[in-house]
Amino acid sequence: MSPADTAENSVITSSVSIFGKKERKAAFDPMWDNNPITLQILGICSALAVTTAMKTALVMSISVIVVLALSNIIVSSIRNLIPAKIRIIVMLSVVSSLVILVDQILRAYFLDLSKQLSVFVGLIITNCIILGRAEGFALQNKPWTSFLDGIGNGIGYSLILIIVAFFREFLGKGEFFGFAVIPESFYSMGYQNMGLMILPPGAFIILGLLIWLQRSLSGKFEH
Amino acid sequence: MQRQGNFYIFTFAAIVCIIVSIIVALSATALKPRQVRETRLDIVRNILSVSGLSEDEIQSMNPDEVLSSFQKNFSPLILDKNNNQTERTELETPLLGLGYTQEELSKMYAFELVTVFSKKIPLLAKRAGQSVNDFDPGYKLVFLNMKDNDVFQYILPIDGYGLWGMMYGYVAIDRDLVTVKGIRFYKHQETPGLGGECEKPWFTDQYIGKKILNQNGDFVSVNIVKGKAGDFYSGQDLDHYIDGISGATITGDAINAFLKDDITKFEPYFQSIRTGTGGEK
Repeated sequence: MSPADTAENSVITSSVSIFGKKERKAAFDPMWDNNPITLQILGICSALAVTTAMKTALVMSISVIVVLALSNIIVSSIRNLIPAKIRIIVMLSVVSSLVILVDQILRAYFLDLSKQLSVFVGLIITNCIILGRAEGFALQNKPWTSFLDGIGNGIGYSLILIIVAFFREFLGKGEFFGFAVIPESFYSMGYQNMGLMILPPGAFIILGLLIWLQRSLSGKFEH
Repeated sequence: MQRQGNFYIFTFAAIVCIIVSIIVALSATALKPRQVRETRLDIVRNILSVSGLSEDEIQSMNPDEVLSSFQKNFSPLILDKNNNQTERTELETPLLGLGYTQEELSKMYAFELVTVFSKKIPLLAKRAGQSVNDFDPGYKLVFLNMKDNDVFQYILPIDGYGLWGMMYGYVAIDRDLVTVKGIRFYKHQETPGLGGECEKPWFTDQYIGKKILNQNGDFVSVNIVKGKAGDFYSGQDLDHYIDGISGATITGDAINAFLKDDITKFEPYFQSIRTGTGGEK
Protein backbone atom coordinates (compact mmCIF):
# COMPACT_ATOMS: atom_id res chain seq x y z
CA MET A 1 0.00 0.00 0.00
CA SER A 2 1.42 3.35 -0.97
CA PRO A 3 1.64 6.16 1.58
CA ALA A 4 -0.95 8.13 -0.40
CA ASP A 5 -3.53 5.37 0.13
CA THR A 6 -3.08 5.35 3.87
CA ALA A 7 -3.44 9.11 3.93
CA GLU A 8 -6.67 8.82 1.97
CA ASN A 9 -7.95 6.12 4.30
CA SER A 10 -7.23 8.16 7.35
CA VAL A 11 -9.10 11.11 5.85
CA ILE A 12 -12.11 8.89 5.33
CA THR A 13 -12.05 7.51 8.86
CA SER A 14 -11.62 10.94 10.38
CA SER A 15 -14.39 12.41 8.23
CA VAL A 16 -16.67 9.66 9.50
CA SER A 17 -15.84 10.48 13.07
CA ILE A 18 -16.41 14.20 12.46
CA PHE A 19 -20.08 13.52 11.99
CA GLY A 20 -20.51 9.97 13.17
CA LYS A 21 -23.42 8.45 15.06
CA LYS A 22 -22.35 9.91 18.36
CA GLU A 23 -21.98 13.40 16.93
CA ARG A 24 -25.35 13.24 15.21
CA LYS A 25 -26.92 12.11 18.45
CA ALA A 26 -25.25 14.99 20.30
CA ALA A 27 -26.46 17.55 17.79
CA PHE A 28 -29.98 16.36 16.98
CA ASP A 29 -31.25 14.62 20.11
CA PRO A 30 -31.74 17.86 22.08
CA MET A 31 -33.74 19.40 19.26
CA TRP A 32 -36.57 16.90 19.58
CA ASP A 33 -36.12 13.61 21.50
CA ASN A 34 -34.41 15.19 24.46
CA ASN A 35 -35.44 18.83 24.20
CA PRO A 36 -34.06 20.83 27.14
CA ILE A 37 -37.29 22.75 27.74
CA THR A 38 -40.10 20.33 26.98
CA LEU A 39 -38.44 17.13 28.23
CA GLN A 40 -35.76 18.20 30.67
CA ILE A 41 -37.79 21.25 31.82
CA LEU A 42 -34.66 23.40 32.07
CA GLY A 43 -34.35 27.11 31.43
CA ILE A 44 -38.03 27.87 32.05
CA CYS A 45 -37.34 31.22 33.75
CA SER A 46 -35.99 32.91 30.64
CA ALA A 47 -38.51 31.10 28.46
CA LEU A 48 -41.20 33.00 30.36
CA ALA A 49 -39.44 36.32 30.60
CA VAL A 50 -38.26 37.07 27.08
CA THR A 51 -41.07 35.58 25.02
CA THR A 52 -43.46 38.53 24.90
CA ALA A 53 -42.02 39.46 21.51
CA MET A 54 -40.30 37.42 18.81
CA LYS A 55 -37.46 39.88 18.41
CA THR A 56 -36.30 39.57 22.01
CA ALA A 57 -36.80 35.79 21.90
CA LEU A 58 -34.62 35.55 18.80
CA VAL A 59 -31.79 37.63 20.27
CA MET A 60 -31.97 35.66 23.50
CA SER A 61 -31.83 32.41 21.51
CA ILE A 62 -28.77 33.48 19.56
CA SER A 63 -27.03 34.60 22.75
CA VAL A 64 -27.77 31.28 24.45
CA ILE A 65 -26.58 29.25 21.44
CA VAL A 66 -23.30 31.20 21.32
CA VAL A 67 -22.68 30.97 25.05
CA LEU A 68 -23.63 27.28 25.19
CA ALA A 69 -21.45 26.26 22.23
CA LEU A 70 -18.43 28.22 23.42
CA SER A 71 -18.71 27.17 27.06
CA ASN A 72 -18.98 23.53 25.98
CA ILE A 73 -15.86 23.83 23.80
CA ILE A 74 -13.84 25.57 26.50
CA VAL A 75 -14.90 23.27 29.33
CA SER A 76 -14.31 20.23 27.17
CA SER A 77 -10.83 21.34 26.07
CA ILE A 78 -9.70 21.81 29.66
CA ARG A 79 -11.66 18.85 31.02
CA ASN A 80 -8.50 16.86 31.75
CA LEU A 81 -6.96 19.76 33.64
CA ILE A 82 -9.88 20.85 35.82
CA PRO A 83 -9.50 19.53 39.38
CA ALA A 84 -12.71 17.72 40.31
CA LYS A 85 -13.08 19.61 43.58
CA ILE A 86 -13.43 23.02 41.99
CA ARG A 87 -14.97 22.06 38.66
CA ILE A 88 -18.30 23.84 39.25
CA ILE A 89 -16.73 27.18 40.08
CA VAL A 90 -14.35 26.89 37.14
CA MET A 91 -17.27 26.22 34.78
CA LEU A 92 -19.18 29.10 36.32
CA SER A 93 -16.33 31.52 35.71
CA VAL A 94 -16.04 30.37 32.10
CA VAL A 95 -19.79 30.74 31.55
CA SER A 96 -20.07 34.08 33.28
CA SER A 97 -17.18 35.64 31.35
CA LEU A 98 -18.81 34.51 28.12
CA VAL A 99 -22.11 36.02 29.22
CA ILE A 100 -20.44 39.31 30.14
CA LEU A 101 -18.81 39.30 26.70
CA VAL A 102 -22.18 38.78 24.98
CA ASP A 103 -23.77 41.46 27.14
CA GLN A 104 -21.04 43.99 26.32
CA ILE A 105 -21.34 43.29 22.60
CA LEU A 106 -25.12 43.65 22.68
CA ARG A 107 -24.77 46.96 24.52
CA ALA A 108 -22.28 48.25 21.98
CA TYR A 109 -24.08 47.15 18.84
CA PHE A 110 -27.75 46.47 19.68
CA LEU A 111 -28.54 48.90 22.47
CA ASP A 112 -32.29 48.80 21.84
CA LEU A 113 -32.54 45.04 22.15
CA SER A 114 -30.15 44.99 25.06
CA LYS A 115 -32.46 47.40 26.90
CA GLN A 116 -35.48 45.22 26.19
CA LEU A 117 -33.71 42.07 27.37
CA SER A 118 -32.46 44.01 30.43
CA VAL A 119 -31.27 41.64 33.15
CA PHE A 120 -32.10 38.46 31.26
CA VAL A 121 -28.85 38.45 29.29
CA GLY A 122 -26.96 38.47 32.58
CA LEU A 123 -29.23 35.74 33.85
CA ILE A 124 -28.06 33.39 31.07
CA ILE A 125 -25.37 32.53 33.63
CA THR A 126 -27.99 30.93 35.84
CA ASN A 127 -29.71 29.13 32.96
CA CYS A 128 -29.62 25.50 34.06
CA ILE A 129 -29.12 24.30 30.49
CA ILE A 130 -25.64 25.81 30.25
CA LEU A 131 -24.16 24.51 33.47
CA GLY A 132 -26.09 21.27 32.96
CA ARG A 133 -24.50 20.63 29.58
CA ALA A 134 -21.04 21.62 30.81
CA GLU A 135 -21.27 19.28 33.80
CA GLY A 136 -23.27 16.52 32.11
CA PHE A 137 -21.68 16.43 28.67
CA ALA A 138 -18.61 18.60 28.05
CA LEU A 139 -16.70 17.20 31.02
CA GLN A 140 -16.86 13.68 29.52
CA ASN A 141 -16.59 14.38 25.79
CA LYS A 142 -14.22 15.77 23.19
CA PRO A 143 -14.46 19.46 22.17
CA TRP A 144 -16.03 18.81 18.76
CA THR A 145 -18.80 16.58 20.10
CA SER A 146 -19.36 19.03 22.95
CA PHE A 147 -19.62 21.88 20.47
CA LEU A 148 -22.31 19.99 18.56
CA ASP A 149 -24.09 19.17 21.79
CA GLY A 150 -24.03 22.87 22.70
CA ILE A 151 -25.40 23.92 19.33
CA GLY A 152 -28.06 21.19 19.46
CA ASN A 153 -29.25 22.11 22.92
CA GLY A 154 -29.16 25.80 22.06
CA ILE A 155 -31.32 25.22 19.00
CA GLY A 156 -33.69 22.95 20.94
CA TYR A 157 -34.11 25.72 23.49
CA SER A 158 -34.49 28.38 20.80
CA LEU A 159 -37.18 26.47 18.91
CA ILE A 160 -39.43 26.36 21.95
CA LEU A 161 -38.67 29.98 22.83
CA ILE A 162 -39.57 31.17 19.36
CA ILE A 163 -42.76 29.11 19.17
CA VAL A 164 -43.91 30.45 22.56
CA ALA A 165 -42.99 34.00 21.49
CA PHE A 166 -44.87 33.60 18.22
CA PHE A 167 -48.12 32.71 19.97
CA ARG A 168 -47.71 35.31 22.70
CA GLU A 169 -46.96 38.13 20.29
CA PHE A 170 -49.59 37.08 17.76
CA LEU A 171 -52.43 36.48 20.20
CA GLY A 172 -51.44 39.13 22.72
CA LYS A 173 -50.53 42.02 20.47
CA GLY A 174 -51.66 40.95 17.00
CA GLU A 175 -48.11 41.38 15.76
CA PHE A 176 -45.39 39.34 14.07
CA PHE A 177 -41.83 40.59 14.70
CA GLY A 178 -43.31 43.95 15.66
CA PHE A 179 -45.45 44.33 12.53
CA ALA A 180 -49.20 44.42 12.93
CA VAL A 181 -50.61 41.40 11.08
CA ILE A 182 -54.23 41.51 12.14
CA PRO A 183 -56.05 43.95 9.90
CA GLU A 184 -57.82 46.96 11.43
CA SER A 185 -61.15 45.66 10.11
CA PHE A 186 -60.95 42.72 12.54
CA TYR A 187 -60.65 45.13 15.44
CA SER A 188 -63.57 47.21 14.24
CA MET A 189 -65.61 44.00 14.02
CA GLY A 190 -64.95 43.47 17.72
CA TYR A 191 -61.83 41.33 17.76
CA GLN A 192 -59.66 41.99 20.79
CA ASN A 193 -56.06 41.11 21.60
CA MET A 194 -55.73 38.55 24.35
CA GLY A 195 -53.96 40.60 27.03
CA LEU A 196 -53.45 37.49 29.15
CA MET A 197 -50.96 36.13 26.63
CA ILE A 198 -48.58 39.02 27.30
CA LEU A 199 -48.65 38.38 31.05
CA PRO A 200 -46.65 35.53 32.64
CA PRO A 201 -49.67 33.16 32.88
CA GLY A 202 -49.93 33.28 29.09
CA ALA A 203 -46.42 31.86 28.81
CA PHE A 204 -47.23 29.10 31.27
CA ILE A 205 -50.34 28.10 29.34
CA ILE A 206 -48.58 28.01 25.97
CA LEU A 207 -45.57 26.23 27.40
CA GLY A 208 -47.82 23.65 29.07
CA LEU A 209 -49.66 22.99 25.83
CA LEU A 210 -46.37 22.71 23.95
CA ILE A 211 -44.92 20.23 26.42
CA TRP A 212 -48.08 18.13 26.16
CA LEU A 213 -48.03 18.25 22.36
CA GLN A 214 -44.32 17.56 22.04
CA ARG A 215 -44.36 14.67 24.51
CA SER A 216 -47.30 12.95 22.92
CA LEU A 217 -45.80 13.34 19.42
CA SER A 218 -42.34 12.12 20.42
CA GLY A 219 -43.82 9.38 22.60
CA LYS A 220 -41.48 10.27 25.43
CA PHE A 221 -43.58 10.77 28.51
CA GLU A 222 -43.68 9.40 32.00
CA HIS A 223 -46.47 6.95 32.75
CA MET B 1 1.59 16.75 38.65
CA GLN B 2 -0.95 15.41 41.10
CA ARG B 3 -4.31 16.72 39.95
CA GLN B 4 -6.08 16.62 43.28
CA GLY B 5 -3.28 18.19 45.34
CA ASN B 6 -3.90 21.53 47.02
CA PHE B 7 -1.03 23.19 45.20
CA TYR B 8 -2.39 22.17 41.82
CA ILE B 9 -5.92 23.33 42.71
CA PHE B 10 -4.72 26.74 43.84
CA THR B 11 -2.49 27.23 40.81
CA PHE B 12 -5.26 26.18 38.48
CA ALA B 13 -7.77 28.52 40.15
CA ALA B 14 -5.32 31.42 39.98
CA ILE B 15 -4.63 30.87 36.29
CA VAL B 16 -8.34 30.65 35.46
CA CYS B 17 -9.01 33.87 37.42
CA ILE B 18 -6.25 35.76 35.65
CA ILE B 19 -7.22 34.65 32.13
CA VAL B 20 -10.91 35.27 32.70
CA SER B 21 -10.37 38.72 34.19
CA ILE B 22 -8.08 39.76 31.35
CA ILE B 23 -10.72 38.76 28.79
CA VAL B 24 -13.52 40.57 30.60
CA ALA B 25 -11.43 43.70 31.18
CA LEU B 26 -10.25 43.81 27.57
CA SER B 27 -13.74 43.47 26.16
CA ALA B 28 -15.13 46.12 28.49
CA THR B 29 -12.40 48.62 27.59
CA ALA B 30 -12.47 47.89 23.87
CA LEU B 31 -16.24 48.26 23.60
CA LYS B 32 -16.61 51.28 25.93
CA PRO B 33 -16.31 54.05 23.29
CA ARG B 34 -18.89 52.36 21.12
CA GLN B 35 -21.27 51.87 24.08
CA VAL B 36 -20.94 55.52 25.11
CA ARG B 37 -21.73 56.58 21.57
CA GLU B 38 -24.76 54.30 21.31
CA THR B 39 -26.16 55.56 24.62
CA ARG B 40 -25.63 59.15 23.49
CA LEU B 41 -27.34 58.48 20.16
CA ASP B 42 -30.24 56.87 21.96
CA ILE B 43 -30.81 59.93 24.15
CA VAL B 44 -30.38 62.34 21.25
CA ARG B 45 -32.87 60.38 19.10
CA ASN B 46 -35.41 60.57 21.90
CA ILE B 47 -34.96 64.32 22.21
CA LEU B 48 -35.34 64.75 18.45
CA SER B 49 -38.43 62.57 18.53
CA VAL B 50 -40.16 64.50 21.32
CA SER B 51 -39.39 67.76 19.56
CA GLY B 52 -41.70 66.65 16.76
CA LEU B 53 -39.47 64.83 14.27
CA SER B 54 -41.21 61.70 12.97
CA GLU B 55 -39.72 58.24 13.54
CA ASP B 56 -39.20 57.81 9.79
CA GLU B 57 -37.17 61.00 9.57
CA ILE B 58 -35.00 59.96 12.50
CA GLN B 59 -34.50 56.46 11.09
CA SER B 60 -33.41 57.89 7.76
CA MET B 61 -30.58 59.89 9.34
CA ASN B 62 -27.22 58.30 9.91
CA PRO B 63 -25.65 58.59 13.37
CA ASP B 64 -23.47 61.56 12.43
CA GLU B 65 -26.44 63.45 11.03
CA VAL B 66 -28.42 62.74 14.19
CA LEU B 67 -25.67 64.18 16.36
CA SER B 68 -24.98 67.19 14.15
CA SER B 69 -28.68 68.02 13.88
CA PHE B 70 -28.86 67.89 17.67
CA GLN B 71 -25.77 70.09 18.06
CA LYS B 72 -27.13 72.60 15.60
CA ASN B 73 -30.72 72.90 16.82
CA PHE B 74 -30.56 72.27 20.52
CA SER B 75 -28.71 74.14 23.20
CA PRO B 76 -28.65 72.53 26.62
CA LEU B 77 -29.03 74.75 29.63
CA ILE B 78 -27.84 73.62 33.06
CA LEU B 79 -29.79 75.03 35.99
CA ASP B 80 -28.99 74.59 39.66
CA LYS B 81 -31.60 73.99 42.36
CA ASN B 82 -32.37 77.71 42.59
CA ASN B 83 -32.90 77.76 38.84
CA ASN B 84 -29.83 79.87 38.21
CA GLN B 85 -28.09 79.27 34.93
CA THR B 86 -24.85 77.36 35.42
CA GLU B 87 -21.80 77.22 33.18
CA ARG B 88 -20.19 73.91 32.24
CA THR B 89 -16.97 74.96 33.98
CA GLU B 90 -18.71 74.92 37.35
CA LEU B 91 -19.26 71.19 36.89
CA GLU B 92 -15.93 70.55 35.20
CA THR B 93 -13.69 72.15 37.84
CA PRO B 94 -14.60 69.80 40.71
CA LEU B 95 -14.44 66.79 38.34
CA LEU B 96 -10.91 67.76 37.26
CA GLY B 97 -9.96 67.32 40.90
CA LEU B 98 -11.18 63.72 40.70
CA GLY B 99 -8.79 62.76 37.91
CA TYR B 100 -10.85 63.52 34.80
CA THR B 101 -8.87 65.30 32.09
CA GLN B 102 -10.08 68.52 30.51
CA GLU B 103 -10.04 66.78 27.14
CA GLU B 104 -12.38 64.02 28.35
CA LEU B 105 -14.75 66.52 29.92
CA SER B 106 -14.87 68.80 26.88
CA LYS B 107 -15.91 65.86 24.70
CA MET B 108 -18.92 65.10 26.92
CA TYR B 109 -22.35 66.35 26.02
CA ALA B 110 -24.01 68.47 28.69
CA PHE B 111 -26.35 65.63 29.68
CA GLU B 112 -23.42 63.26 30.08
CA LEU B 113 -21.55 65.83 32.16
CA VAL B 114 -24.54 66.24 34.47
CA THR B 115 -24.88 62.46 34.82
CA VAL B 116 -21.19 62.03 35.64
CA PHE B 117 -21.37 64.88 38.13
CA SER B 118 -24.47 63.45 39.86
CA LYS B 119 -22.72 60.11 40.25
CA LYS B 120 -19.77 61.80 41.94
CA ILE B 121 -21.83 63.96 44.32
CA PRO B 122 -21.31 61.70 47.38
CA LEU B 123 -17.55 61.73 46.80
CA LEU B 124 -17.39 65.47 46.14
CA ALA B 125 -19.52 66.17 49.22
CA LYS B 126 -17.16 64.11 51.34
CA ARG B 127 -14.16 66.02 50.04
CA ALA B 128 -15.88 69.34 50.68
CA GLY B 129 -16.71 68.12 54.20
CA GLN B 130 -20.44 68.68 53.72
CA SER B 131 -23.42 66.36 53.86
CA VAL B 132 -24.71 65.19 50.49
CA ASN B 133 -27.91 67.23 50.88
CA ASP B 134 -26.06 70.46 51.67
CA PHE B 135 -23.56 69.95 48.90
CA ASP B 136 -25.86 68.77 46.10
CA PRO B 137 -26.26 71.70 43.70
CA GLY B 138 -29.29 69.89 42.20
CA TYR B 139 -28.20 70.41 38.61
CA LYS B 140 -30.89 69.75 36.05
CA LEU B 141 -31.08 70.18 32.33
CA VAL B 142 -33.46 71.83 29.95
CA PHE B 143 -32.86 71.52 26.22
CA LEU B 144 -33.69 74.66 24.28
CA ASN B 145 -34.83 73.82 20.79
CA MET B 146 -33.62 76.81 18.77
CA LYS B 147 -35.02 78.12 15.53
CA ASP B 148 -33.67 81.32 13.96
CA ASN B 149 -31.75 82.21 17.13
CA ASP B 150 -34.90 82.07 19.15
CA VAL B 151 -36.15 79.45 21.58
CA PHE B 152 -38.90 77.49 19.94
CA GLN B 153 -39.43 74.67 22.45
CA TYR B 154 -38.27 73.73 25.92
CA ILE B 155 -37.54 70.04 26.41
CA LEU B 156 -37.43 68.69 29.95
CA PRO B 157 -36.36 65.25 31.10
CA ILE B 158 -38.99 63.51 33.23
CA ASP B 159 -38.66 60.36 35.29
CA GLY B 160 -40.33 58.60 38.14
CA TYR B 161 -41.48 55.30 39.53
CA GLY B 162 -44.18 53.52 37.54
CA LEU B 163 -45.87 50.24 38.44
CA TRP B 164 -42.88 47.92 37.96
CA GLY B 165 -39.88 50.20 37.83
CA MET B 166 -38.44 53.56 36.85
CA MET B 167 -39.89 55.28 33.80
CA TYR B 168 -37.84 57.78 31.80
CA GLY B 169 -39.00 60.26 29.22
CA TYR B 170 -39.04 63.77 27.86
CA VAL B 171 -41.71 66.41 27.59
CA ALA B 172 -41.59 69.26 25.08
CA ILE B 173 -43.19 72.58 26.00
CA ASP B 174 -43.91 75.34 23.53
CA ARG B 175 -42.19 78.72 23.67
CA ASP B 176 -45.35 80.17 25.27
CA LEU B 177 -44.42 77.95 28.26
CA VAL B 178 -48.01 76.78 28.58
CA THR B 179 -48.70 74.36 25.74
CA VAL B 180 -47.34 70.81 25.70
CA LYS B 181 -45.87 69.91 22.31
CA GLY B 182 -45.06 66.28 22.87
CA ILE B 183 -44.14 63.57 25.36
CA ARG B 184 -42.13 60.36 25.05
CA PHE B 185 -41.33 57.52 27.40
CA TYR B 186 -38.19 55.88 26.14
CA LYS B 187 -37.47 53.50 28.97
CA HIS B 188 -39.96 51.80 31.24
CA GLN B 189 -40.95 48.36 32.45
CA GLU B 190 -44.73 48.73 32.40
CA THR B 191 -46.84 45.72 31.40
CA PRO B 192 -46.97 45.46 27.61
CA GLY B 193 -50.51 45.97 26.38
CA LEU B 194 -51.56 47.74 29.61
CA GLY B 195 -49.23 50.34 31.14
CA GLY B 196 -46.87 49.71 28.24
CA GLU B 197 -49.35 51.54 26.01
CA CYS B 198 -47.85 54.77 27.42
CA GLU B 199 -45.31 54.69 24.60
CA LYS B 200 -47.93 54.34 21.86
CA PRO B 201 -48.83 57.32 19.67
CA TRP B 202 -52.56 57.15 20.49
CA PHE B 203 -51.67 57.91 24.08
CA THR B 204 -48.75 60.35 23.72
CA ASP B 205 -50.47 62.32 20.94
CA GLN B 206 -53.22 63.25 23.39
CA TYR B 207 -50.74 65.46 25.25
CA ILE B 208 -50.11 67.64 22.22
CA GLY B 209 -51.83 71.00 22.63
CA LYS B 210 -52.73 70.46 26.30
CA LYS B 211 -51.94 73.30 28.70
CA ILE B 212 -49.99 73.17 31.95
CA LEU B 213 -51.45 76.45 33.28
CA ASN B 214 -55.15 77.14 33.82
CA GLN B 215 -56.79 80.37 32.73
CA ASN B 216 -55.78 82.06 36.02
CA GLY B 217 -52.17 81.26 35.28
CA ASP B 218 -51.87 78.66 38.04
CA PHE B 219 -49.84 75.54 37.42
CA VAL B 220 -52.05 72.45 37.09
CA SER B 221 -49.95 70.14 34.87
CA VAL B 222 -51.65 67.71 32.48
CA ASN B 223 -53.43 64.79 34.11
CA ILE B 224 -54.57 61.38 32.97
CA VAL B 225 -58.06 60.52 34.16
CA LYS B 226 -59.48 57.07 34.74
CA GLY B 227 -61.65 56.56 31.67
CA LYS B 228 -62.51 59.23 29.13
CA ALA B 229 -61.56 62.82 29.96
CA GLY B 230 -64.69 64.01 28.15
CA ASP B 231 -66.90 62.23 30.70
CA PHE B 232 -65.57 64.32 33.57
CA TYR B 233 -64.57 67.67 32.16
CA SER B 234 -65.74 70.04 29.51
CA GLY B 235 -64.76 73.33 27.94
CA GLN B 236 -61.48 74.85 28.99
CA ASP B 237 -60.98 72.30 31.77
CA LEU B 238 -60.45 69.70 29.06
CA ASP B 239 -57.15 71.45 28.27
CA HIS B 240 -55.60 69.81 31.33
CA TYR B 241 -56.95 66.28 31.11
CA ILE B 242 -56.47 63.31 28.80
CA ASP B 243 -58.02 59.82 28.47
CA GLY B 244 -56.54 57.09 30.60
CA ILE B 245 -55.27 53.69 29.54
CA SER B 246 -57.77 51.01 30.56
CA GLY B 247 -56.24 48.55 32.98
CA ALA B 248 -53.34 50.85 33.80
CA THR B 249 -54.60 53.16 36.54
CA ILE B 250 -51.41 52.92 38.57
CA THR B 251 -49.18 53.72 35.60
CA GLY B 252 -51.42 56.72 34.87
CA ASP B 253 -51.29 57.98 38.44
CA ALA B 254 -47.52 57.56 38.46
CA ILE B 255 -47.09 59.54 35.25
CA ASN B 256 -49.34 62.30 36.62
CA ALA B 257 -47.28 62.51 39.78
CA PHE B 258 -43.80 62.65 38.27
CA LEU B 259 -44.80 64.84 35.33
CA LYS B 260 -46.20 67.36 37.80
CA ASP B 261 -43.14 67.14 40.08
CA ASP B 262 -40.64 67.48 37.28
CA ILE B 263 -42.32 70.45 35.62
CA THR B 264 -42.77 72.08 39.04
CA LYS B 265 -39.01 72.06 39.47
CA PHE B 266 -38.68 74.26 36.39
CA GLU B 267 -41.69 76.47 37.15
CA PRO B 268 -39.64 79.27 38.84
CA TYR B 269 -37.39 79.39 35.77
CA PHE B 270 -40.37 79.43 33.42
CA GLN B 271 -42.06 82.08 35.56
CA SER B 272 -39.00 84.31 35.29
CA ILE B 273 -39.11 84.02 31.49
CA ARG B 274 -42.85 84.61 31.35
CA THR B 275 -42.60 87.80 33.39
CA GLY B 276 -39.18 88.87 32.06
CA THR B 277 -40.13 88.80 28.43
CA GLY B 278 -43.79 89.64 28.79
CA GLY B 279 -43.94 91.45 25.47
CA GLU B 280 -42.81 88.46 23.47
CA LYS B 281 -45.45 85.85 22.87
